[in-house]
Amino acid sequence: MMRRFRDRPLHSKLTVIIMVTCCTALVLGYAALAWRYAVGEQHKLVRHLEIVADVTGANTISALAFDDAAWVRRHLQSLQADPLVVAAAVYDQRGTMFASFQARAAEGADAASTVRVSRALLLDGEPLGSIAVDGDARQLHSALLADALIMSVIVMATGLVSWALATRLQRLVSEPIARLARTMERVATSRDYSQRVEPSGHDEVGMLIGSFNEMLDQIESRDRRSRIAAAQLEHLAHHDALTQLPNRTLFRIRLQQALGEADRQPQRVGVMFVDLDRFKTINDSLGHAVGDLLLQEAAGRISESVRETDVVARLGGDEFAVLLNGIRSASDAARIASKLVEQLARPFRIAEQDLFISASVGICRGSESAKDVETLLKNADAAMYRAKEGGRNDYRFFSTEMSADATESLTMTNGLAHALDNGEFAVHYQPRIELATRRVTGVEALVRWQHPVHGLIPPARFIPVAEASGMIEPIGDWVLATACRQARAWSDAGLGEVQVAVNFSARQFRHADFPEHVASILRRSGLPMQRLEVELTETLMMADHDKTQHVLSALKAMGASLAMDDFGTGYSSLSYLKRFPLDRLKIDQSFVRGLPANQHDLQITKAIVALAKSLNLRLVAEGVETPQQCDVVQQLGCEEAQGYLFGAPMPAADMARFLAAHQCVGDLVTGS
Amino acid sequence: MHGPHAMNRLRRRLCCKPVPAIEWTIAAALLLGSAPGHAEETPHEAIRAEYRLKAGFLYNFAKYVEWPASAFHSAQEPLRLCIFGNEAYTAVRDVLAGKTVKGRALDIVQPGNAAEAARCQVVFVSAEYRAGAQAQSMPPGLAASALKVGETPDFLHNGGTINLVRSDNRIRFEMRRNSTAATPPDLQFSSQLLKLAVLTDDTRQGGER
Repeated sequence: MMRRFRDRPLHSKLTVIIMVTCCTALVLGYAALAWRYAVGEQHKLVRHLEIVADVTGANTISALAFDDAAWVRRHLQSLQADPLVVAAAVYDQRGTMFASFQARAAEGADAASTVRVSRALLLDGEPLGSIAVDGDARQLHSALLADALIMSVIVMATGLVSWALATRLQRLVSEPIARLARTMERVATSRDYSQRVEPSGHDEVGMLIGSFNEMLDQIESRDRRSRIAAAQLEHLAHHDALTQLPNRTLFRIRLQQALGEADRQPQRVGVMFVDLDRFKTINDSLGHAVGDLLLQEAAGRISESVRETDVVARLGGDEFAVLLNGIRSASDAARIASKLVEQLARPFRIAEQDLFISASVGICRGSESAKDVETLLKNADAAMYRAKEGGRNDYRFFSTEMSADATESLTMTNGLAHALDNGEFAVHYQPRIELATRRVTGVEALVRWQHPVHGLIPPARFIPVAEASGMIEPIGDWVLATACRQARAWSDAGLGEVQVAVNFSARQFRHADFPEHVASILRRSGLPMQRLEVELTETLMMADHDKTQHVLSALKAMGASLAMDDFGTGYSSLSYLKRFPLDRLKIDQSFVRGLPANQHDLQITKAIVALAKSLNLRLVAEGVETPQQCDVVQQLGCEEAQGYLFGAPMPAADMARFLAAHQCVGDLVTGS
Repeated sequence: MHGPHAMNRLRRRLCCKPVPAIEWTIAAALLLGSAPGHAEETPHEAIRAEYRLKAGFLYNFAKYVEWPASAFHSAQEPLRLCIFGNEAYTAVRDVLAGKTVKGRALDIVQPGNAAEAARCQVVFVSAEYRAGAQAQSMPPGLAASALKVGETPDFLHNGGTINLVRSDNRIRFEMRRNSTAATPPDLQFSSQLLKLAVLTDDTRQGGER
């Protein structure tokens, strides 16, 4: 019952409550009045009967005394006139009935409907008997019953009226709540938080509605904020923060879509991998801020170079990719690629200086054998590497034989970890010749990786991987130790006191005890410090001036000589040349290669020579391949040279023979 | 039908104190004896029973009658109930001995002379007495204010105040309708008494006297 009531709608509850309250109050009020009336009437009846009993008793006591029952009966008959008396009886002292009277109207009167009053009859203080008078309470009862009937009609009428009123009045309370409930339900089902409940007054319901609307406001605004945040996150997840270009993830999605749309014509889809040459050098030497600006500018140029329908993405670092849509022939892709290469080769004006980079581009078109995302990306990457190896600033289409290289590069990191233990590394030596005497003044130690499967792998391929993985340190130590032992062996064999030049990685320089470390390796190999030349790159010089200066000074103090490798390719200022205790500058082979015809290269070489002279540094020309080049560099003022003209990098055994053959300075002349 | 009941009631009413068992036995015998045609009822016992009833009447009359103050010497003076007749005296004395009326003790006496009779407030003249006295219908020396009760048919004619009669096996009492002439001076009767009395027209008889 109570549970059923609890589940009733609010308006029904309120109606019931109002009606119950009204009717209960009415019934209670009536009951109180009726009780009061009944008690009063009963009292009146009893009082009347007492009077009747007293009077009749006084009149009949003498007859009782003189044993005149007939007289008593006669007298009692006079009570017939009293409609309230239904019976009367006089009893003697023993309680035996002496005389009695029964009213004619008394039929049907039972004990419940009569009221009895008894009086003792006393004569001269002596009890003679008693008189009992029965009154008729039926009239009283019927009056009460009539009242009750009328009252129930009134209660029913009141109930109806209060129901009619309650059903209307309860709306004042229940309607706003019902409205609130309906709206809440609508909001819950539709999840449309823009809906509001119509306000109603300032009572509790009004406050509730206000709070609810406020809550909806907050939910709505939070919803809006989270949608924006989700969109931002979506954008961040799919775009590169620096260039705002799509990132690798989005690029793959777009590529997948393009392949799906191209359906049976995968050749209409192409992927270009763009790698900025020398970007790392700029980034390292001029700082990240400049690097970032350069990347942004480059991204802009790439976007301008491609068509509207193509998708440009930054895959990371200095790597970009372009998704080519709807290409009809290879020449379409070639045209775009060449425009792109051309655009990136133009100088970048950043921070009030012109920066030069170039791009290596690999292109892969979809085909029956390459129509999925992975293959296309892998092939474009391989083609890009081929372009880089081919001298940069160029583009290459993917051809099937490139895929083997690409696969191999993926396994290089794993291979490096075991190469040292497996003895797959070897040190080759290239002679350095003093031009004036044509004597071998030193050898440059160059590491080679003889991969058991892939054969000889050039340093340009695995050194960056080794640098990245940290393997460069044990490899560098091994190269140093091997080269020093070899130099010592040659000395012991009477092949001369040649200097051995070893390349070091910037990573190795990070350790503060690097000079001591080098010294201990030399001690173990038995080679004096004076016989070691430390070859440095310009990048290394820029890494950490103070620390580098400290390490170099220590090495210098121990007796080692210092050489700057590949001089002229970097962007570092020349100030470090003064600051660091260098002994040699090695002119990059790219300048020597153009000699003597290329005036540009000639001018640069002249400038470098002038610089070295002013700083009192010995000059080594690298990559000397022809006698003409040898003549030019000698005339310009280079003291030493390296190159195929004199000898390519060769194994230690060959080098030993070479040294033995060129012990005599005069014999060294090769061709001239 | 009323006879034995009435006797019983009167008996009970007259006894202020619990009735001893032996007396109840007697009463029961009287009751049975009073029934007409009862085998064991003797004339003597019937007469005795009737007097016992009449004793109650005498007692109740005393309660419904007001005597003038001159009738008593003091407020404590007992009320004298004088019985003329041996049988009646014995019965009345048995029934009413020790009772009081309106605060006065009840003296039941059998006056031997006129002087004694003069002091009586209530007088009962039995049929036995009148039968024996012959010459006089009323004992000599009675006070004017005495309530004179008798049981003979001509008692009222002879100056009696109330006459007890048997009617339908019940005892009734007669009084004269025109009471003023015959009523003893200064004696007041309660209306309760008068309404129950069988009133007789005694002018003729009074005129004869």
